[in-house]
Amino acid sequence: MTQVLLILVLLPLAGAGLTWFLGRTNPERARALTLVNTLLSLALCVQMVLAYDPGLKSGSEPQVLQMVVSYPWLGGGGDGPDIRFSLGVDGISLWMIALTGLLMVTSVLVSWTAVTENPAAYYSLMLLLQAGLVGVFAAQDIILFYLFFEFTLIPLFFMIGIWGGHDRRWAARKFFIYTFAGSVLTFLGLLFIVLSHQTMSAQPGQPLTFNIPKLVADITQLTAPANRANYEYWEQVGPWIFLALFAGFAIKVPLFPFHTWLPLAHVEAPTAGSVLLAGVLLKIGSYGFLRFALPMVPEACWTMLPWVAWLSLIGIIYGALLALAQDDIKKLVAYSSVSHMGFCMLGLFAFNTTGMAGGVLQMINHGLSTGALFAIVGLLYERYHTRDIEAYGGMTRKFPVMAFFFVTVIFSSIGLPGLNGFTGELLALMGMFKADRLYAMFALTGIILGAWYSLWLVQRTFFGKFREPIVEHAYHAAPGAPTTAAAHSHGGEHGAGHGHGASHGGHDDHGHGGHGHAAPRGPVGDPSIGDLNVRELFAVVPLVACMFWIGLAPQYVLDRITPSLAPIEKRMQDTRQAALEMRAKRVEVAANGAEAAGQAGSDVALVGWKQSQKD
Amino acid sequence: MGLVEAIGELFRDGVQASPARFACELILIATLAALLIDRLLFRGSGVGARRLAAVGTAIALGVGAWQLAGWLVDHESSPTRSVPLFSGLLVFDGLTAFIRVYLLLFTLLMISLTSLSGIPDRDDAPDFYLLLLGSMLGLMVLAAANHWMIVFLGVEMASVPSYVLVGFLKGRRISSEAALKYMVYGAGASGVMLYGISLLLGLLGTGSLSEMGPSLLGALGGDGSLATPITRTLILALALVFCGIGYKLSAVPFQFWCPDAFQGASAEVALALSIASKAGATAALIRIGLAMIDVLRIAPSAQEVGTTLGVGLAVLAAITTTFGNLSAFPQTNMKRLLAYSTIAQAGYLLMGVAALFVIGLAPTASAAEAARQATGSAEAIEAVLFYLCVYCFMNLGAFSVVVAVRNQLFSEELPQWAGVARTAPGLAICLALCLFSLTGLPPLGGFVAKLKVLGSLYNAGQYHPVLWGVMVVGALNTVISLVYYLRVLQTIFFHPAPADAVSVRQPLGLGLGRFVALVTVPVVLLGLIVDPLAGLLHDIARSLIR
Repeated sequence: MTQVLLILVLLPLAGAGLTWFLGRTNPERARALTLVNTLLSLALCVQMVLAYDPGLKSGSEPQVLQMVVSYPWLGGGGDGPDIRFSLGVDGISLWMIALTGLLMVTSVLVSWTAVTENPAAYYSLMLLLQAGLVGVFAAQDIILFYLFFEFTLIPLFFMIGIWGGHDRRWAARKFFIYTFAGSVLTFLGLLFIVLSHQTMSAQPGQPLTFNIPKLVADITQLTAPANRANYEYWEQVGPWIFLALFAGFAIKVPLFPFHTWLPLAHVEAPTAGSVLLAGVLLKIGSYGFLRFALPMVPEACWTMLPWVAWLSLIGIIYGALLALAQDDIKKLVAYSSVSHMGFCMLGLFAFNTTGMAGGVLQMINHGLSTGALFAIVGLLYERYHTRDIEAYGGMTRKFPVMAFFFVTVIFSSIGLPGLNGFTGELLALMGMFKADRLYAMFALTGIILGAWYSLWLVQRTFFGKFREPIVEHAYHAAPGAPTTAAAHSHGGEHGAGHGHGASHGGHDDHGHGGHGHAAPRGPVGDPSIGDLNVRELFAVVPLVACMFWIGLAPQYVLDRITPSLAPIEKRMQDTRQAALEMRAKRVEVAANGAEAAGQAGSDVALVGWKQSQKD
Repeated sequence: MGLVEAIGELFRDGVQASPARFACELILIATLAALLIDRLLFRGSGVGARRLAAVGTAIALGVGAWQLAGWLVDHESSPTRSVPLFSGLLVFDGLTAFIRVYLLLFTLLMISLTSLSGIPDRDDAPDFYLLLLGSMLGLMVLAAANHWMIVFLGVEMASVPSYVLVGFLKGRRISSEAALKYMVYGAGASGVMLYGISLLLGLLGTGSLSEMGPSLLGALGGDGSLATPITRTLILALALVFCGIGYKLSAVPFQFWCPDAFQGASAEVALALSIASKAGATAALIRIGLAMIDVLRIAPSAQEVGTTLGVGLAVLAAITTTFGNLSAFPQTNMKRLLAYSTIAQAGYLLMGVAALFVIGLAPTASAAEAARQATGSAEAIEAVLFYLCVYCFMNLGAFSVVVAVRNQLFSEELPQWAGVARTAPGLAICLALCLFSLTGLPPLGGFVAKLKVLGSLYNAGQYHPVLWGVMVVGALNTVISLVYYLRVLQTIFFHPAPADAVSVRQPLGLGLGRFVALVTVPVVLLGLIVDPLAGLLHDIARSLIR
C-alpha cells in the first residue's frame, strides 16, 4: 500500500475528467460517478489510517513519515534544483487527509439535489479540489506543496463564483485574491529557506533540495549554536522568514485582522464549498505553521509568540462576540470558525506536545463539527431558502432527527465531555496552561462565549415557539416529499397561517402546536417539507459517529499524532535553551567589558518569556 | 581599411561559412521576393500569398531547427562559443539559432491563426504577409547582431513594417491614429538610440560588440570609477541605446504607444507585436549584456559601470511590471487590457536580464567565485529564454481567444463578453488556463518561468541587495495581476449573458477552437514537463558564458 497516496491524488483527478466527459449530458451519472469516486477515496483513506504504524522505527529513531513515494520531477541533474514529486504522511497529515476523504462524501451528498445548474462541472471541480487538498497535506516537497496550495484555490473560486449565493462574484474574487496575496509571500519565504539552506551548507555541486524533511533536518543541524556564523545569520533572517510564512498561513487560518475574507466566502459558497472551506481548507494554515514555521524558524517563533498568541486571543473573543451578534446562521458558524481556529493556533503555539496535540486534535474536531454544522445548515437552507435565525423556531418538533444531530454537533463544538471537542480543548488548554497561564485564562473566556452563542443558536432555531419560514418555492422541497402543484398551494396557505401564528405571540408551544396544522405527532407545518431522508442521514451520521469515537476513545488518534509532534517539541525546547545560553554568554562578554555586545531583539523577548514562567 | 579591402575581407571568411549559417534569413528573403512577384504578376490567380508565406516559413523553420540541432551536436563534441558571420557583423551561436527557431515557429503559428481568423482577407494577404515576414527578418537580424549598426538596423527593419501592420485595418480612424502614434514614437526612439550608438562609436572607435573591451581599456586607462567622464559617457550612451530597445520591449517609460497601438490594431497584429518584438529585443539585450561581461573581463576597472547598469535595469523592470499591472486595472477593452498585461510581462523579462547584468558584471574575487558567477549568469539567461517560450504560448492563447470571440461577437469590450463560458466552455477554460499562467499559478508554465526568474533575482541579490527588493516586487505583482485577470474570468464565467447578446459558440474541435487548444496545451505541458526545454536552454546559456 505504499502507493496509496499517489492513488489518493490521482483518483479524484481522473474522476474529475470522467465526471466532466460522461456527466455533461446526464446529471444523474455525474452525481453517481462522483459519489463512487469519493467513497473509493474514503475507503483508501481508511486503509491508509489502518496501515499507518505509529511504532515504526528506522534504526533507533521513530519513523513518523510513512508511505513515502518520490519521483524526480524538475531538474535533478548537477547542482541545479532538484524538485521531486514526493508524497508521504506523518501522524498529522494522516488525519487531515482522512478528514478530507470523510468530508468529501458529505459534500457530495448534501449537494445531491441542491445543485441543479451544470452539475457535471460542479462535481468535477469538487473532485479537483479533493485532489488538491490531499496533495497539500501529503506533499513532502516545497514546490509540490505550493502547487497544491494554489491549486485548491481555482476550483473553489469557480464553485463559489458560479454556484454561490447572492454576492458570490465578489466573494469568490476576494477569497482568491486574499489567499493568493498571502501565499505569494509565503512562497517567497519558503524559497528563501531553500536557497539559504544551500548557501549555509556551502557544498558546491550539491543539488538544490526542496525536500521538506531533509530541509528541517539540515537546518536544525546547520543553525545549531555550534555553527556560530550560521546561528547568527538565522537569528537575523528568521523573523523575516517567519513574517513571510505568517502572511500566507495567517490569512488561511484565519488570524484576527486577516479574517475578513472568511465570513463572505463561507456565507456565499454553496453548502459543499462551505463544508470543505471550513472543514479542511482553514486547516492548511495551521498545518503550515506546524510543518514549516515551527521546525524551520523556531527561534523566530519564540520571538513572535506573544504577537501570534494575542492575535489568536483577539480572534477567539472577537469572533465569538461577532457570532453572538449574527442573525444569519451561516455567518454565525463562519465567525465561530474564526474563534475556534484561534483556539487551535493557541494550542499549537504552546510549543509543548500536550498543547500541540490538542491543537491538532482541535483541527480535526473543528473540521468535523463545523463541516457537519454547515452541512445541516445547508440542508435547512435547501428546505426553506433562508438562513435568517429569526425565521426559524421550534424546529425540533418538525425535524426531530435533524434536531438530534444538530444539537449533538453543537455540543461537540462547545466541548461537551464525551464528545470530541472536549478532548481537544482540554489538551490545548493544558498545554497552554503549562506555557503561559495568562493566555489560557483568556482562551477560557472564548469557550464560555462559544457555549453561549452556540446554545443560543440552538435555542432560537430548534426550540421555543414553532415558527417556520414562508416557502417561496415549494417545488424546491426535499426529495421524497410530494412535489406537486398541491404542495405548492400548501406552501402558500401555510404562509398565511404563519402570519396568523405570529400574531399570537403569547401562546405557549402546545397551544401553537394545536393550531390546526396537523395531528400532534404527525409532521408540523408545511407537510411538503420532511425531516432528513436516508441520503441526508448518510451525509451527517459518519461525522457524528467520528465525534463520538474521538470523544470516547481519543487514544487511537493521539497515539498517531504525538510521535510526529515529539521532534517539533524537542526542536522548540532546544532552541529556547540554546538561545538562553547564547544570551548568557553574550551578557558575560558584555559584563567582562570586552565590548558591549549588541542584543538581538529575540533575546530580550525570550528572557521576558522566561521571567513570566518563573513568576 | 579601404572599401575594396573591406569587401575582400567580407568574402574571404564569409564565402564558405556565412551564407550557410545565414540560410534562414536568406530563405525568408527569397520568400519575400516571391511574395512580391506573386503580388505583381499573378494578382489573385497565383498560388496565394498565404500558402507561399507558410511554405517559405516552414522551410526556413526546418533549416533553423536543423541548424539548432547541428549546433547542439557540435557543441557537445567541441564547445565553441560563437561563429562570426560576415566579418563579425553578425554572430552565429546558440542564442541566434534558438531565437530564429522561436521567431519562425511563432510566424508559422501566426500564419495559421490568420488563415483561420480571416484577417487579412484575400486582397490584402500579400501585403500583410510581406510585412509580417519582413518584420520577422529584422528581428532575426537583431537577435544575431554583433555590431551596433546592425542592432540599429535590426530595430528599424523590424519596426517599419510593424508601423504599417498596426494601421492595417484601413478606413478605421482608431487604427490610423494608432499607427501614427506608434510611428512617431518609434522614430523618436530610433533617433535617440542612434545618438547613443554614435556616442559609443566615438568613445570606443569601434562598433563591434566583441571589440568593445580592448578599446574601453585603452580609453579608460585604469580609472574606471563613475567620476571619470568616459564612464559617464559610456553609461549615457548605453542608456540612450536602451531607449530604442526598451521601446521595442515596451518597457516603462517607453510604453506609451503600446496600449493605443494594441487597441487600434487587429488582435492578430497586436499578438505579433507582443511576442515577436519582445523576443528580438530581449535577445538583443542579452547580447549587450554578454558583450559587457566580456568588456569587464578585459577592463575590470569599469566594474561600477556594470553594477549601475544592472541595478538601473532592475529598478526599471520593477517599475514596468508594477505600472503595467496597475494600469490594467480599469481597462474594459480586452486588447488594451492585454497590452498592459504584456507591459507587465516585459517587466519580468527585463528582471531576468537585469539579474544577468548584476551577476555577470559583479567583481570577481576568486576562481570559485567566478565559477559561481558563470553559473548564475547562465541561469539568468536560461530563465529569460524559458520565460520567452512560455510567454509565447500563453499570449498566443489569450489573443487567439480574443480573435475567436471577436469573430462572433464583433466586440472586444469586456462587459459584452459576459456569459461566454456558458456557450463556449472550451474556449473559456483555455482562456482561464492562459490567464492563470500569465499570473504565475502552478502547475502551469507561467509558474515555472516566474520561479526561474525569481530564483535568478535571488542569486543576483547576493551581489546587490536591491535585486532582492525587485524580487519581492515581482512576486507581489503576481497578486496585482491576478486581480484584473480574475475580473476577466469573472465576467465570462459568472455573469449571465445579456438577453439580446449573440451567443458565442466555438467548440475546441473546430477551426479557431482547435488553434486555441493547440497553443494552450504547451502552456500546461511546460509547467509539468520542464526538463527537456530547460535542458536545451541550459546548454545554450552555458555556451554563451565563457
